Amino acid sequence: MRALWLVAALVLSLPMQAEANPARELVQHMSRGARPARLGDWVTYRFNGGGLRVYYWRLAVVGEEKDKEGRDAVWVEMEAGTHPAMKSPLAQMRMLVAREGDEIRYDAISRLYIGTGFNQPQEYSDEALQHVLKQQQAEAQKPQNAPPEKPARLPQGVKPTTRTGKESRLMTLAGTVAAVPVEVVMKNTVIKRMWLSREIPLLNLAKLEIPGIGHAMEVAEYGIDAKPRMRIPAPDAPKVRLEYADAIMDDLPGDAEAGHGHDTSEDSP
Amino acid sequence: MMSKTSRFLASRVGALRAGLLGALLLASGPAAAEQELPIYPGTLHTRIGNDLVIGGEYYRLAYFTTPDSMEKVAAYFARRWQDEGYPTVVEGDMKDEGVVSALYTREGLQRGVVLRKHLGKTVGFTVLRDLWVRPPKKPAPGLITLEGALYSQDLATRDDPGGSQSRTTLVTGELTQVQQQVSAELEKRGYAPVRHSAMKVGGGTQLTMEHARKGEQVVTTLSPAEEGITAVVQMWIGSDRPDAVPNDDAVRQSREAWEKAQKREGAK
Repeated sequence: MRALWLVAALVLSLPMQAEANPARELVQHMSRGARPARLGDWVTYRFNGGGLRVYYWRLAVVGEEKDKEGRDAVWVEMEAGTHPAMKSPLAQMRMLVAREGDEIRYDAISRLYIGTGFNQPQEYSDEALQHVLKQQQAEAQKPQNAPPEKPARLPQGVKPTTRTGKESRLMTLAGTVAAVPVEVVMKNTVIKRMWLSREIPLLNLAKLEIPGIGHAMEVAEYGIDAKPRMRIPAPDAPKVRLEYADAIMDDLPGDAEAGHGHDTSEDSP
Repeated sequence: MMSKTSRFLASRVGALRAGLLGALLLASGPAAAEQELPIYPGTLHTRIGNDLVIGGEYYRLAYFTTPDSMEKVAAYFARRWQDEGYPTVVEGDMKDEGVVSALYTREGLQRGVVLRKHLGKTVGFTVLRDLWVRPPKKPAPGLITLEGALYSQDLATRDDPGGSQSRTTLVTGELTQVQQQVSAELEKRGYAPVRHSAMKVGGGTQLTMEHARKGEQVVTTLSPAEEGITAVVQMWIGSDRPDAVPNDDAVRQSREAWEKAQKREGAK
């Protein structure tokens, strides 16, 4: 049911003109078997930025437990690397995120581990995590608080439109799936094209293309048997902590508050 | 309060945002368990020492020789690691030298092979480097830090009971001047000169000095690298025994062996 809401919201948020109800095809598609995210769900996407700029991104639900506020929560792992097998990811993230019913609240993170490059993954201290979340929140609220921007001027009489196609069999790197195309079109030019599929776990996204800049994101692999893969550091291992610049440098110019909040890691190699 | 629809959408958007964060991390970037050295098939690999500590990091090294060309050997390792999905780098002209290395980010390891030509064959040094575990700092009181050093690298063994450590340094200064600096510093630390020798090597003079303090030895070899630059190799051994076992350990082991032998005799 939530998938239906997603689809409806997704389509309704796009500019519309050509069709009276472009969401209908999507809603019908999703109503035939879309399911909420479950423990074990995983999906890997291939990003193609043109030329040799190809990399993979994996999202997986690998565990369930209560968070420190007693809420139901799931462990979500994200990895990015140059190979879909992710034997040697270049970035790893593992976070405990609250779950409300079927919904994973990616904005309600209570624990976070990050590993970049060949560095050993480190957990964020509570203080550092709160700092990061606050920054993200402020970033998210910025557009709401900012004065409304003037929309980019388009040629007179030209408006972007959204259109959905009929459900079709889409060939992807992960096999052929049933998917519904959603296109944002300007005159006869496709600005963005998405294929949404109930068969793809977590994001229900099979493929996304931005033809004008040659970017594409396509499902490469998916499944329902995800296991935790990050090598968790020992509980007494150093955590990522905030370091206060004004505590180190007494005569730091400017506002002392502004000097706060540099997240850094203890004893990093 | 957020509506269900917008929260659901926010959850997806949040996931995508986190994905983009991962992408940014990727764009900005490249265990102590028993781990294998890289192997080139059909050749005999000879370990160099046990676990070595080079520049404060754990290494394992081995070498092999093969009549195969450098390009072929490099291509074997590069293809293997790339096919398995490890970020792999290939460097060198593949005529005189070549290096192939791969990062194992989950385990915190780097595997690599350094290739050189020798007597018409390809010589490969296979390397396993630990990127996470750092050795405890073991002081080597006999290794001195020289003024005016252009380059300095320390080498130690992980499990050597004698605790031998070496330091290679390139230092500005003529050989005699550097020799005096080394001798003065060692004597200041309580090391007494035992013997020294000089020999002609490649048209230059190579000087070897031996100093000792109780059960410790320091052997220093100095040779001119180029005009005004001297190469210094210092080796400190925490024992004066040929097997490099520290004296107190040797006495303890000997006593234990004697006690065991006595017990065996008594049991008979």
